[in-house]
Amino acid sequence: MVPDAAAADEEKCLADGIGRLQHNAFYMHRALDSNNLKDALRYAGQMLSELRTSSLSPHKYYELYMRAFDELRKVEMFFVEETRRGTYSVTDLYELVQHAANILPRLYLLCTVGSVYIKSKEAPAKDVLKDLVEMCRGIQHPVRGLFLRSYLSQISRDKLPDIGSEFEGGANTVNDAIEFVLQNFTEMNKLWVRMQYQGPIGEKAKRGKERSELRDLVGKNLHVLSQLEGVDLDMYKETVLPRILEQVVNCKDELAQHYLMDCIIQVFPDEYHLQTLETLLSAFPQLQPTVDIKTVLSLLMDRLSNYAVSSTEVLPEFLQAEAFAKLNSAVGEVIEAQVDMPISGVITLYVSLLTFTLRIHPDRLDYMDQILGACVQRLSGKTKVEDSKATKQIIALLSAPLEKYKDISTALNLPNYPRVMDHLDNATNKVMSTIIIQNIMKNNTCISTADRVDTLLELIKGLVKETDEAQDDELDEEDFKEEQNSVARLIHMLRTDDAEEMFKIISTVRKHILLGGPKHLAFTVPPVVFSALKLLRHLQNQDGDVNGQEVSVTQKKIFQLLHQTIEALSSVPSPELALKLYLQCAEAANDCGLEPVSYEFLTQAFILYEEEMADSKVQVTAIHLIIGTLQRMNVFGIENRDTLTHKATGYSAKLLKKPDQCRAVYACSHLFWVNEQDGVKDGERVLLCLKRALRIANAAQQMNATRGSSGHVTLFIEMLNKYLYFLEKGNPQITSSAIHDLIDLIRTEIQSDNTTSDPSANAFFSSTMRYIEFHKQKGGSVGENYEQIKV
Amino acid sequence: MASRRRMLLKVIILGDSGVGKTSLMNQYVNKKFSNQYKATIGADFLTKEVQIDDRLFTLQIWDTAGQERFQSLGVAFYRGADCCVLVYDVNVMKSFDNLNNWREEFLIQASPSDPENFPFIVLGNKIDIDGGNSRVVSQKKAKAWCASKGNIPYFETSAKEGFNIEAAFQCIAQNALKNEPEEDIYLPDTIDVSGGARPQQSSGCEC
Amino acid sequence: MDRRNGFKWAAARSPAVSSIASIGSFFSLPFFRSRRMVLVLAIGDLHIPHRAPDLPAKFKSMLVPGKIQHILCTGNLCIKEVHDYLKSLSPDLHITRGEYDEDVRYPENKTLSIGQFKLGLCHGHQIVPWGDLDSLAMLQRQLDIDILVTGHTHQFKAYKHEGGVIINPGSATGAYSSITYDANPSFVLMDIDGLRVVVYVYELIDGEVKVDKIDFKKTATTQSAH
Repeated sequence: MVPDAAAADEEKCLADGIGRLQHNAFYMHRALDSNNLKDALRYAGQMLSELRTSSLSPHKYYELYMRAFDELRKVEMFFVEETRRGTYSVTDLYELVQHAANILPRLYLLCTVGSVYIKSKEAPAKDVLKDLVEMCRGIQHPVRGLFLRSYLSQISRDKLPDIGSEFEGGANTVNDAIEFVLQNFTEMNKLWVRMQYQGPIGEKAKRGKERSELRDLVGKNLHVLSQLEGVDLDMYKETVLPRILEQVVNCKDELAQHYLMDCIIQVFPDEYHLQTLETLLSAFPQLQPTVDIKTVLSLLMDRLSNYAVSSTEVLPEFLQAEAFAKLNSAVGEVIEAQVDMPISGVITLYVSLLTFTLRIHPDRLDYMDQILGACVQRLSGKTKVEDSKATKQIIALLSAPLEKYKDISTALNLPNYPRVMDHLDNATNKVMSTIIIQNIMKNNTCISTADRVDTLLELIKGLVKETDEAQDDELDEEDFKEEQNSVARLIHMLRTDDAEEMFKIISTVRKHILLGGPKHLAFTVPPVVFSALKLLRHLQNQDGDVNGQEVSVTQKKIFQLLHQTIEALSSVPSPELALKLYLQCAEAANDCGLEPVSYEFLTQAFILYEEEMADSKVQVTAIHLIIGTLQRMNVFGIENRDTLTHKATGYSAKLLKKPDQCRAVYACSHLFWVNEQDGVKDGERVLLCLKRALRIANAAQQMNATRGSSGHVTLFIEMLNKYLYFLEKGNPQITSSAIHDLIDLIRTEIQSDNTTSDPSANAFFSSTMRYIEFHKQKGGSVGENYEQIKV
Repeated sequence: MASRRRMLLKVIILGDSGVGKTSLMNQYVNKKFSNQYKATIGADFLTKEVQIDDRLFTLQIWDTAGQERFQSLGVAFYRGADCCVLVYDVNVMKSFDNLNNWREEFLIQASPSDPENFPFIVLGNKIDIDGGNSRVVSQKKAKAWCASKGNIPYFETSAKEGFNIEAAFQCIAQNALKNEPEEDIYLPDTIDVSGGARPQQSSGCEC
Repeated sequence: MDRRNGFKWAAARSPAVSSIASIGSFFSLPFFRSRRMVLVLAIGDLHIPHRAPDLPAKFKSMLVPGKIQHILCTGNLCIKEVHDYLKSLSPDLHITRGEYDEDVRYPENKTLSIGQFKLGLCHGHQIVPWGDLDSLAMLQRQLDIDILVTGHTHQFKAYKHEGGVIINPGSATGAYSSITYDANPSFVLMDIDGLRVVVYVYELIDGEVKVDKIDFKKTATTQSAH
C-alpha cells in the first residue's frame, strides 16, 4: 500500500476506534451513575475491546490506550467507592470482572480491581501482584501484551511493598516488589523480542520501527526498580543487576541489548555503576556482535566522567573501584571480541577512555601513555590509516591531551604520542601538526630545550619534511604557504634565555628544516637566521659578564651555522633573499668586531649580486641595500674598505638605467662620510662621487633632450640637495660656486622651451630654495655655510 | 456524575533532563529525596490527595523523561491535562532558555481548546546548591519571562530541602481546578452504532 | 615662528599620558565629542613570520575594526595574512614596499591627502644613510608633503624640521633590526583635526603599553600651493 494512503487509513482506523470507545464509555458512565455494575462492566468490556485491534502502529495504539486508561481511572474510583460503602466486596469484584467476554478486556479490568484489592489490604500485595503478573501471560500478542503489562506496571507502582511503604509488612517485603517488577520486565522483554520474528520478511524495517517505538515500555521497568527505596547498593549488586543482565544477554536481540544497556546506565546512579563495574562490563563481550557496544561503553564512560567533574569528593570512589583498570580492560576485551569492529570504532573507544582518564586521573600520565600505547598496538601492522572516520577519531585522540594540558610539553613527554602520529598518513599528519602548532601559538608556549624541540619537529614532520608522495602536487599553493608560514611562526616559539641551550635549539631546528625540500626552505630559513642573529645580540649584551674568548668562539660557530643555512637557499633558488640575509650577517659580524667574517659575508652578497639578480628593479633594490649596509660598517681596515666601496660604486654606475645609476652613485657618496665621531669623513671622495653622479645626470639630460622629455630635472634637484647636505656637514670640498652652478642649471632647465612642465619638479625646487632661505635666515653654525649662497 | 469526573486533576511536569522533575514529584508525594541522578524513562504518574477549599481531589502528577530518546512512544498522555508544570534548574541557563520550547511543544501536542489561558506553572529548582552561589538565572529574569507569557505563577523550590514544594503544588492544584475540563461533548446519536461498531478481529488469536 | 610660503610649523610635546587601554577610550574624552575624529594608524616593520610570530596580544586587543579611518603601513609585513589583518581594521589601507615583503607590487612610495594634510609613505631602505633625518627630509621635499611616514630602523621617531614632520612608527612587533638594538614594539596613531595633528605613540615596555603624545600644528597663509 502507498505510505500516505496507509497513514490516512490508520488515522481513520484510530478515529473510528476512539469513536466507538467514547460511545461505550458514555454508556458505561451512565450505568455507573445508576450503580448498575453489571451494565457498567459490560460496556467497559466493549470499550476495552477496542484495544484488541491489530491495525494500529504503536504510536497510534498509545493514543487509544490513553483514552481507555483515563476511563479506567473513573472505573477504579467507582470500585473504591463501592467497596468502601460495602455494596460489593473486592473479592466479588474480582470475580465479576472475569465474566468479560474476551480475555484482553477481562485482564484490564482485573488489573484495575487488583489495584483496589491491594489498596484495601484485604489480601497481601504480593499475592495479588503475583496473580496478575501471571495472568497477563494470557496475552501473547506483542503490542497488546506490552501495553497490558505496562498498564499493570502503572497502576501497581504506588502499591508495591517497598521499604517504608504501607503495603510492606508481614509476608510482604521489598523482595516481592522486586520480584514482581523483574518478572513483568522479563515477560515484556520476551514479547518485545518476539516481535522481531513475526510477520512477513518484507516488513522487517517496519517492524524494527515499531519495536523502536515500544522500547520505553520495556525500559520503564528498570526505572521503577531504580526508584524503589529497597533497591540499595547491595540489593542492586546481588539481585537486581544480575537478573537484568541475565535477561539482556540471553535474549540475544540486538535492539533490546543496545537499548537496555543504555537504560541501565542512565537509570541507575553513578555510585552503583562504579561499584558494579566489573559485572556490568563483563556483560559487554557477551552481547551480540552487531550491538554497537562502543556507543554504550562510551556513554558509560561519559556518565562517569561527568560524575567525577560534579564533585571532587567522589574521586576517591573511582580510585577505590579501580575504575580505570576495569574500563581499560573492558575496552580491550570488547575490541578483542568484536573482530570486525572497524578501526574507527576502536579509536572511538579509546577516545572515550582517554577523555574519562583525563578527567579522573589528570595526573596519571602513565595511564594516558598506556591508552595511546594500546592504540599504537591496534594500528600496528596495518597500512597507514586512511579511513576518514578513523583519522577524525585519531585527531580527536591526539587533541584531547593538548586541550586538557594546554602545555604541549606534557603531550611531548608521552612516549607513545609520537608513535600514534607515526601511523598517520601524510595528509592527516599535516592536519594534526597544524593543530599542534595552533595550540602552541594560542597558549604562547615556549619550547625551551633542544631535546623537546627535536621531538616536536619530528612529530610535525608532515609539515617540515619533504615527501616524495605525489599528493604534494595537488596541494593548493595558498594552503602550502599558510602551512609553511605557520611553521615559520612556530620557530620563534622555540627559544630559551640560556645561550648554550639556545644554540643547540637553533642547530636542531636547522637540522630539521634542511630535510624540507626547496619549496619549504624559502619559508623556514629566515626565521632560523634571525633566531641566530638574536642569539648573537644576546651574547654581545652579555659580553661584559662572560669570558670574552668563549663568546668569540661561540659567535664564530653561529656565523658558520648562518653561512651554511643561507647557502641552502641556493637550492630553492632564492638569491634575492640570500643576498639580504648575507647582508644582515655582515652587519652582525661587524657589530661583533669580526672583520674577516664580515668581509666574507659581503663577498657572498656581491657574488649573488653579480650572478643572480633577475632584473633591473631587483638590482636597484639590492645595490641600495649593499650601499646602506656598507655605509654603517666600521670594522674594515682601509684596504678591505676600499675594495668594497670600489665594487659598490662600480656596480652602481653600471645599473641599467641612467637615473638609477645616478641615484646609486650619489648614495655611494655617503660611504665616504659617516656622521659619527670617529667616522670616515673623506670629503674628496665624496665630491668625486657627486661629480660622477652629476656627469651621469648630464648624460641623462642629453638623452632626454633628444627625446623631448624631462624627468632629469628632478635628478639635478636631488643632486643639489646632496650638495647642500654635505655643505651642511662641513665638507670643505663643497663650494658655493658648484651649488650656484647647479641652481642656475636647474632654473634654466625649468624655464627652457624644450622641456615639458613638471609640476612636481617645480615644487621640489621651490621647497629646496625655501630650505636654503630658511637656513640663511636662521643663521647659526649651519647658516654660516649658507652665507655664500645667493638665491 | 460531574463530581466524580472532576475529582481527578491531571498535571504534566516538563523540563530538561536533570532539572529535578522526578525529585520534585517524589518530595511532594513521598517526602523523599535522593541526590543521585537517575534518568526517567517514558512517562509515568503518581497520585496524591489534595484538599481545595473543602473538597478532596486526586492530583494525578505525570513525570516525564527529559532526555528525548526516552520518549519513544510520543506524548499521547498530554491529552486531558489540566495544568502543566515547567521546571528548570536555576544553576543551568540552558534549562531556563528551553522553557519556551517546552511550553510551545506542549501547546502544540496537547492542543488545549483555549491555549491562551491554559494554566502553566514555572518552578525554578535547585536553589539550595552551593548556598545559591552557582545561580545563573535571577529571580527577576524568571519572573519577567513568566509575566510575559500571561502571568504564569512562579515558585523557587528546592526538592532537596523540601522548600516551597507544598505551596507550589497547592497552587498547581488550584490552577488545574480552575481550568475548564476538556469535555469531549459526546452525543450518542452522532455515531453509527449499528454498522461499524464491531471492533476489528485480529487474525488468529482470540485475546 | 617663521613664515614660510604656506606653512607655519609649531610643535608641542605633552607629558606622557597614562596607558590608554583601548582606542575606544578616545570617544569617552569630552573634548572629542564635538567632532568626528580622523584617526590614522601608522604601523610597519612587523616582519611576520621571518622575525616575529605575531603582533603582541596587547596591541591586538587595542586595534579594533571600525575605529580607524586610514592606515599607513611602512612595509615589511611580510605576508598576505598580515595584509588581510590590516585590511580588516580599516578599508583605507596604504602600503609601501619593504625589502622583505612577499608582495612585490607595493609601490616604492605613496602620497595622499587627509584633511588639510599631505602625507607621504616610504619604507626607507631606499634612502641612504638609513634613518638619516636630513636625507629623509630631502625625500619629503621631493614628494612635497607635510608629513612623511617612514620605517626600516624599527625606532620610533617624530621629528619636526623646516619642511614638515617625519614620523617613524617603529616596529609593531619589536622585530630584530641590524640598526636598532632591543627595539620595543610600537605603533603610532595620528588624530588629524583641521590644521592640527596629534601624534600618539604606543610602546610595549616590559609587558605594559605606554602612551606618549606630541602635537603638531601647521598654519596656512594665503599663499596657494603650486
